[in-house]
Amino acid sequence: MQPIVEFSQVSFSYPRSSNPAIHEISFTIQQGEFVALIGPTGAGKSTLCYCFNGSVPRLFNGEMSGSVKVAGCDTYYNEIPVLAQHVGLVVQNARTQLFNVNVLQEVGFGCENLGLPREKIRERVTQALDFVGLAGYEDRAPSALSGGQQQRVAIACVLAMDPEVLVLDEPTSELDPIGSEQVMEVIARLNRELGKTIFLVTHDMEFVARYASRVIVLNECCLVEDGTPEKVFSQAKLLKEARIRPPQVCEVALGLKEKGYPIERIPITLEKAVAQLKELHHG
Amino acid sequence: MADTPLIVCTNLTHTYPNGVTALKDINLTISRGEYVAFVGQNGSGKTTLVKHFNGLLKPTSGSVKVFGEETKDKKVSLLSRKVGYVFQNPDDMLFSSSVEEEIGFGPKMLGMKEEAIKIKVNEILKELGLMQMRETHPFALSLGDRQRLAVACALSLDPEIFVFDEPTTGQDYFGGESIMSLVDQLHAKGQTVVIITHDMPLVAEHAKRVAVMHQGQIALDGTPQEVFSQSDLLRKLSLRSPQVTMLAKNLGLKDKTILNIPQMYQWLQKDYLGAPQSARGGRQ
Repeated sequence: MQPIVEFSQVSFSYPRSSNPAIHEISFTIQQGEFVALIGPTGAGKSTLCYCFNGSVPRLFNGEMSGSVKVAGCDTYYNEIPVLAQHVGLVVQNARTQLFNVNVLQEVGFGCENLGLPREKIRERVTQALDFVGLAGYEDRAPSALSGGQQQRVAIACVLAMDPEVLVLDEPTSELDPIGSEQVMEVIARLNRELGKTIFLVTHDMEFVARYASRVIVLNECCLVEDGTPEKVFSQAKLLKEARIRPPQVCEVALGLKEKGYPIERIPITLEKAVAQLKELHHG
Repeated sequence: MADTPLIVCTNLTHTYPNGVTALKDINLTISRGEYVAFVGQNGSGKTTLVKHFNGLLKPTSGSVKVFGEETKDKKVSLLSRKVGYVFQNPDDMLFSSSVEEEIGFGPKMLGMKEEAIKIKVNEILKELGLMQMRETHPFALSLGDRQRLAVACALSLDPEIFVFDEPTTGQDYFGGESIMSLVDQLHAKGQTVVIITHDMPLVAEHAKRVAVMHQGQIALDGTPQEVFSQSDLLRKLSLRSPQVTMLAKNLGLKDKTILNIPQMYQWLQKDYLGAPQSARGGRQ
């Protein structure tokens, strides 16, 4: 099957910057995958997100080489409005992307710009708000909502345009535990129930372990690993180099392995760790 | 002196002008040298509470005494010498055109002499590892360095109490740890430290006392051991104990609460798993 996302040898440098923000990045994503992008601050994660809908290099001037294709559209030859129908980007600090007087107009804004008929927009907005658990919030001011609600409005905004791929840049970093859980649940359901392809940037490794089917690690503007969460969280050296702290249960298991305990597979969730250590205890 | 109360809240209630009561009848004492973390959902009252510590907010009823004096009739400018507040977002408090100017601003406003300011600023630049960036524009710094600068600004007023509102938000693990080691250093020097955070492993690894806020009240207040041992109650308050704490509990550990990874290893090796086979083999 043709991949829904295709990065080949993508490099980008911001103007007046001697170092590239991302360097020769190549990977493909199949439809329906849930990919997490992790790595330290400054590794180039947000820049990579901006490549998906052509914001890099269209909105951010700079030098780009290589190619990005989303749903068969090369981002170099297609304008952002075309790309926006295939990929929705929820930027970091989502509240900065909200600007309308009420939630209805906010969520409908993208569809209006796609030139959809009025009834269709209404229908899409209702469905999107329903999906993120904000039905009935149409008349509320986005600015007066809680951080978690604002984040879900931002997701609804891109969902209403019905793209195949959703790119979310640290959607839970500013949220409290309840808000984070609710947002992550929405993202998981987008993937599970609607079959959307998810590309998520996060520093919350417990979420990565729980939800992602695949993890891409970025360090110093290069792609340094691409594999299952199990594979990534099993590599002590890689984690250290990329300054990633895995879920605590992985850290415990990695340490036990180093101390000489027979740990063949590193557990990545609490449930798996409990089962594995119980076995070790009885064995 | 360890037990000198520095902040005393008595029946503190705060109602905002829009009618929302954010704090309900809070009674709380924070003593010199304590390291207290306030945790809880957004809207539970954490920030409203700590803003009473430096007089940014005044009680609607009840009282807040800082260093024995009611904050009610005190100006923020006076209290800010004693209570340093580091905002969640450093960009909310930075405005000068160079790092050294930024750090010198507070002392200048307090009327300190130019020579004394220079010495002070130099000391702080050295202490926080910002010396090389003294002439840099604050907004040209990385987020981590802007955080350090925000701490530097608070330090410049020589406060006795430091309040950090979500000091590690938006930082990766490395950045978060570097800020927290700074906070730990302040505490080690005998300063009183108050932090607000959503990061439970951070609380378990650093704080000495945890207060859980819920709907404008303090629902739990104790050592990290005491608080994180009540994982069922915490879940009701929509908080999660650190994963290692849950791991030990699920493995059947009842009489102790594991807070961090070194403690976990110790328990696993000593009690739960015993020494690894390879080590045992070696001894035989």
